[in-house]
Amino acid sequence: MEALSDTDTRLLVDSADRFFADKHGAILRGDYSDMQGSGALWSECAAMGWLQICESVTDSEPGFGTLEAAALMEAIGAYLPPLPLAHGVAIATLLVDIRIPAHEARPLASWLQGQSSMGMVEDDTVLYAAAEQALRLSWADNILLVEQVTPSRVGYGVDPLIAVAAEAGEPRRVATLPCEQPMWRRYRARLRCLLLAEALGAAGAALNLAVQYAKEREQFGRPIGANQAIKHALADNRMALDDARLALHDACAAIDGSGEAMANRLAMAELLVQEATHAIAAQSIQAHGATGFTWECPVHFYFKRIKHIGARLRRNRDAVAILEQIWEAC
Amino acid sequence: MGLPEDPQKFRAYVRNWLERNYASFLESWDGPRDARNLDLRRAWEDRLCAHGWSGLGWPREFGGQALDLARQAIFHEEHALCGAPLGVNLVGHGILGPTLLHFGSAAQKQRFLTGILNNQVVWCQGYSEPASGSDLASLRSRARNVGNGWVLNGHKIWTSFADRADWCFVLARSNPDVAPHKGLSFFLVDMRQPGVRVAPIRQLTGEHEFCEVFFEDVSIDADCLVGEPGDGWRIAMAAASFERGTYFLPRLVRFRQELQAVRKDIEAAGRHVATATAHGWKMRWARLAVDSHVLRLKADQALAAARSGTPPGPEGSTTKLLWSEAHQRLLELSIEIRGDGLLRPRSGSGTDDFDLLQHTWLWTRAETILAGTSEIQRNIVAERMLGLPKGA
Repeated sequence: MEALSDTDTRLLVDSADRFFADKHGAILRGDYSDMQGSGALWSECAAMGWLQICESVTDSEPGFGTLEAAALMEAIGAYLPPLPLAHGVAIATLLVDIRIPAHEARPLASWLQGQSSMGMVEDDTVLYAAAEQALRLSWADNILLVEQVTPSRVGYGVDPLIAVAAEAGEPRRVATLPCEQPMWRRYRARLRCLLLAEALGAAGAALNLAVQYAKEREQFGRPIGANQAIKHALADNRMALDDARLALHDACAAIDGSGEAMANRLAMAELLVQEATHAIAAQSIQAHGATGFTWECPVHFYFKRIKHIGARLRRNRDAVAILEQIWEAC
Repeated sequence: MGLPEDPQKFRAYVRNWLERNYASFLESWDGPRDARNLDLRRAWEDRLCAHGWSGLGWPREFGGQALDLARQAIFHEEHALCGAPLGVNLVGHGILGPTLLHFGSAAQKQRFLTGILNNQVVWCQGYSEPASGSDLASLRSRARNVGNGWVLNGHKIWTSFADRADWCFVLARSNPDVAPHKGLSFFLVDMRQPGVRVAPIRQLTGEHEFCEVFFEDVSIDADCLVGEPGDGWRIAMAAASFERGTYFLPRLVRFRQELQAVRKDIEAAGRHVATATAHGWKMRWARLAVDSHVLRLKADQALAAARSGTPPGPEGSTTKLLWSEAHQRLLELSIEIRGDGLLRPRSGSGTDDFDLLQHTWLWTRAETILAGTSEIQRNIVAERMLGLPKGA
């Protein structure tokens, strides 16, 4: 695959900014968090063509890859949409990877085209559970199993915008598709990268809010951001964010490239994203002072999204498990 | 030198040359084989220069090798990998040479570049003063125009290798009546003349690398002013950016080598300590491996930016912060693993493994201070990358 210019990535990111700019207020009000709202927003996002962004990774055509998808996902993450977009991109790419024509996996195809909206099962939890149905993907013995489940006891976890639920009833088999292990592993790695990118986007937006506030809020006759106690903490946040992005893009390149040391590069990116985003989650509230503790100040939505994604990632492995992996691999 | 164009071949050539020559250099070296020894460092630097390994990126017309940035990077990386120490004329090669190429007059290039290339003239950098450390633009050394030249009075400090330097490039105030950074000029000062006094400063490591330099009515020829009067700040800022693609490469290689050594120490010492202690070391080591990975990615990014001609930004500050602070953590870990080693008498032989480690460990305390303290670097990041206001 040919490398794309920064300009192409910029255009992609701009498209996300334009799309979400006038929807952001409604997202934070929860207008897109119920069945109808999230379904409508899902259709619109699908119409943008974002879910198919990585499809050309697998053929020789120049096009976007996981790196550009991560840049897009980061841009989208800044607006906190309550949608399984990371899953959408990863699953659409997996289908191309394993060369399954869309009609052989019809419920997936209609979901990816935005005709239906679906929650996603991760471990034993249904996420984005405002939808009537949720998808579960699992893999064993070179077979990808796609099932549909019905969410029950729908409610909200830490993130007030993303509905979560338990599974109810027997899962219904939707498709069994041949899928070799490297494809499945690439799918898992790509999904993880996109989730990390989404968390980075939320953290970047939270940091922007904190920086803006530190420039405007005056105490003792000067902006609070002139004080080193605040500006250095925010500088550390910014550097941690940039380093995490650098490592994340390196992991994306590993996924689309030779796959060399992919697991280790992804582990490093994951550690850095977790560290950076949680530090920013805390600091962005702290920099706002008492205002940061109010519901009215939007910074808590970012805090909660970061904690929501962080908890999902940690289910798989926490920081110690990642460090142990790195110790073993290096 | 007919150097290979192809990066892979160039790397193989450099590696082979360095391995052979550094080994034979050490064999012929009479003094202690201590890579900290300044005479050894100077002699090795002389050897490199004698074989044309200087002015790697300079144009051919000035005696340089006109190597592209990729090959310059390979040389610096391989040089660090072979275990050879950095020289003592670092600011001559890395800062003043490129500065003269950019800002120097034809006569200045003619007069000074050869001495740097063949390492016959060692340079030091006269910027910091007792009252002007982080706030460099407030410096007070005064250069008075006396018609056919200048007369310099002032007091510089933290000047590395000033006791060995033949010449010094000095920032001094040539006009006290304008804004602080507009009144500075960039001078080339002969250190071997009356009125120049050098007083070495003993560092907490025990040796003297830094000095104080006193200038008392020192004369400077008119043609030893670089650029125009008042250009000093602009030139000094640009001078600091010339090394940005390659400056951290030797440090990065060293970091990786030290990281591997620490791993071996953990594996060996980990068997004799509590499981939880060994696990703690491993976790800290793994986190440092992540820092090493990021440093590598940042170096690649800096090299790419330098190659594409992107103007330098505050990324140098972010790399410096990450490298210097991670290096401190690495050496702290390294010392901790050695248990009560700090309580044993030092051998003082100059080649003792643990003595060297202690020296490196103590040196890391300087790394978050020199060339812009961590506090200043964070100010730069906050102000230039985040747009936060300057302090009151």
